[in-house]
Amino acid sequence: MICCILIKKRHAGDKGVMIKRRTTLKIGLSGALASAFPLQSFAASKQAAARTDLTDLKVLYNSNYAESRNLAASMHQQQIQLEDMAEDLAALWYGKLKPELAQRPGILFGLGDRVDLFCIEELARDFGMKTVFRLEHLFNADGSVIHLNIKGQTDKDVDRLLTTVPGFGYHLTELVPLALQNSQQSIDAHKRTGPFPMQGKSSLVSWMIS
Amino acid sequence: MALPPNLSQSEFDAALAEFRNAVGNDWVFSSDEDVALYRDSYSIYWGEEEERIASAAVAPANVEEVQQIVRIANRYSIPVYPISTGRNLTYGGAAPTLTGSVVIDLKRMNRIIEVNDKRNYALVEPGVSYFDLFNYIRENNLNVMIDVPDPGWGSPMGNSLDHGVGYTFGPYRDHFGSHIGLEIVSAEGELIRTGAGAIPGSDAWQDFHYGVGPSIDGLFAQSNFGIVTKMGVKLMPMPEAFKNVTITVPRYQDFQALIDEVNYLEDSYLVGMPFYNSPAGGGLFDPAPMGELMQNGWPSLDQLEAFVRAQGRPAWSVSFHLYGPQEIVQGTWTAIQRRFRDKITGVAFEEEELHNLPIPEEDIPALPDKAFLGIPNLEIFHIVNRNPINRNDPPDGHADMFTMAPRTAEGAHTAARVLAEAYQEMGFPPATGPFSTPITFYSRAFVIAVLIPTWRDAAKNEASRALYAHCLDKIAEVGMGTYRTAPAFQDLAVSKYNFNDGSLLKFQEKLKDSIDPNGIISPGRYGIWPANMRNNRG
Repeated sequence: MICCILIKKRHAGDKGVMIKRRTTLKIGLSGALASAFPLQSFAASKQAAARTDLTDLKVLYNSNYAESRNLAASMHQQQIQLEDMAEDLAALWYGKLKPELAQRPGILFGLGDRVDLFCIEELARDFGMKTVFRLEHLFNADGSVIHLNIKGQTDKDVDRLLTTVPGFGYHLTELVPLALQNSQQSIDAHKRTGPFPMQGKSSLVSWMIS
Repeated sequence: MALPPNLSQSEFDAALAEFRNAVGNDWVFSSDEDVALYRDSYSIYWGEEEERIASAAVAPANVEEVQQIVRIANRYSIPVYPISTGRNLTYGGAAPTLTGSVVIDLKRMNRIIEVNDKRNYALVEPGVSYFDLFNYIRENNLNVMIDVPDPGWGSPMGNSLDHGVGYTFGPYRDHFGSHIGLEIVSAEGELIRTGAGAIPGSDAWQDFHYGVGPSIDGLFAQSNFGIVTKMGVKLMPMPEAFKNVTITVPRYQDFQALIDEVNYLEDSYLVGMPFYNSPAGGGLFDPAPMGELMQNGWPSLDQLEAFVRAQGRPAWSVSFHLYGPQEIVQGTWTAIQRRFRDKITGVAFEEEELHNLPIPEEDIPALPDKAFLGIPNLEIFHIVNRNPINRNDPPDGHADMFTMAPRTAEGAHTAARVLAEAYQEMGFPPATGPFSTPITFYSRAFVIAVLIPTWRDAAKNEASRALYAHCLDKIAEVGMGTYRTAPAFQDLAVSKYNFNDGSLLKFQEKLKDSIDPNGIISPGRYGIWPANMRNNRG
């Protein structure tokens, strides 16, 4: 069925999908998230409009990882699309996300391993989408967690929000406004690494692609 | 932002305006952030001056728009670089061969024009992915199987035109070899169809590939002579069933006899892709410790046989799928066992259950080797990620080097030995050894593969580049070359195919100068530089 939709769309032509996508999303999302996430920590959130349409955001988690499952659990009561990357990333992209994004632009926010990000990052080029926010989460042997931004540095705002102990996945969506802020700044988060894991570390990565 | 060579900003702006006029404002990408999407994630020059960077990208919706783009590019002498999905990582991805080129992103030309399961072909546009084709076939209950590469996120057309490969029967896993009919926009914007497609009104375009007179199809693979806008793909009728079988032989010196028999089976179209392995040598993830064996250089045959006996496992194995009706599969398997027993003492056999095809939808997620059954997937990234070799100093990507060797034990061993020595000479631990096994991507040649790491670190990339170049030099000394490579090494790789003072490349360049006089299409791709840029050869 999905394929039929795709084929029909091809014949119909898909001009217009790209029109001012980023502008639309920036306006739409900052407002949309105001109703779903605690935004008081960030200046950007104060500019949030009243719009409550959450359909632009898709949260991707990987059920192979505890913190990613925590992220999913935290979303349980939210009216936000939630997708698991663990089973078959290709089926998720080609069977669901790609047709949906062809119909309506969206923003992807995820927590998984570097393979998840790398693949989605490459696939999202079809819609002119790029990684606008990226945070590595390193698990130390003592159980603590370090959150590193794209400069390889910790960030006090992030540490305050997420804490540096296991369970940060429950609070991860609180980063969405920060990620939205970053989306207006640079392309430095895009293609920071390949798909391989960080040397000698157990790690995950959270990201926003828009 | 990079500019096209020898073009001012104002001239480029004027060209971009014409591109926008041709394809619409929304489909010309020239901002830094948009162009960055076309960087090669595995570039071995990442962040360095030599990294190949596009100046812009243009996404046409149809053939007419491709023709307009080509004509504009000719007027401004702008190099263009067509991509289909642009995800052929380790071979350049979406990045052009020449910095400043305008990428022609054919993603919007994504129509599956026809899939015929009576004459067993598909006709597709460049932006159709393997997933699209696979889903279309299943949605429409068509009785054909596709052959997919790994990872499967590319397009049948792009993969074929890059001489990509898959995992089923020999005639199908050579993807360019299984194309049938091309439609091409020439460098001057003219539309050409090959084979029977050159006859107006022909219904045999995907049935007869020659037409009459010289066949030019091969000129459009790994090349820069035109932009392919449609391609026919031969499809395998969906087999009724398949069975996976494995044959093991006990001694190191049994390898040649094993190869001889597998060659017979392959060339008789009796088996699917053979997968060679060495139980005694260990697999990729579990190599047997060979420090002692290798301490005095390449071991003798006696040493190798003693090593195999000490491991208590067979020296070599080969696995393959048998496809067809159940009666044929079982009969073929019986005959195969007889033939091996007659030739190799101590041969042993393993077989798995016979499975009916197509695989039910609900069973696909649990399948271990989806690509072997023509099911596109991205699992290769997780498999490579689990490779312990990558845990010590995980790279950001890899530049693959595939050494093409004769289909003999000596061919495989020579390639493995030369590559091992090349690694050691450059200060790297060898990636190949006496138990390295060939890959049979092409049914009539062996491939010995090494994956040379690429990084986001310039110093490490410099070392990787030196290693890659050294490997190419060393295998050429024993009469071997690679069959595809990243843009950074294309000039060097092509230079090894230099019989009679490089007469092949000279011929290709004469063609280039004749049919692309302004040198606009993918300058430098696989070593073919137009006359006005020949000094760019690296």
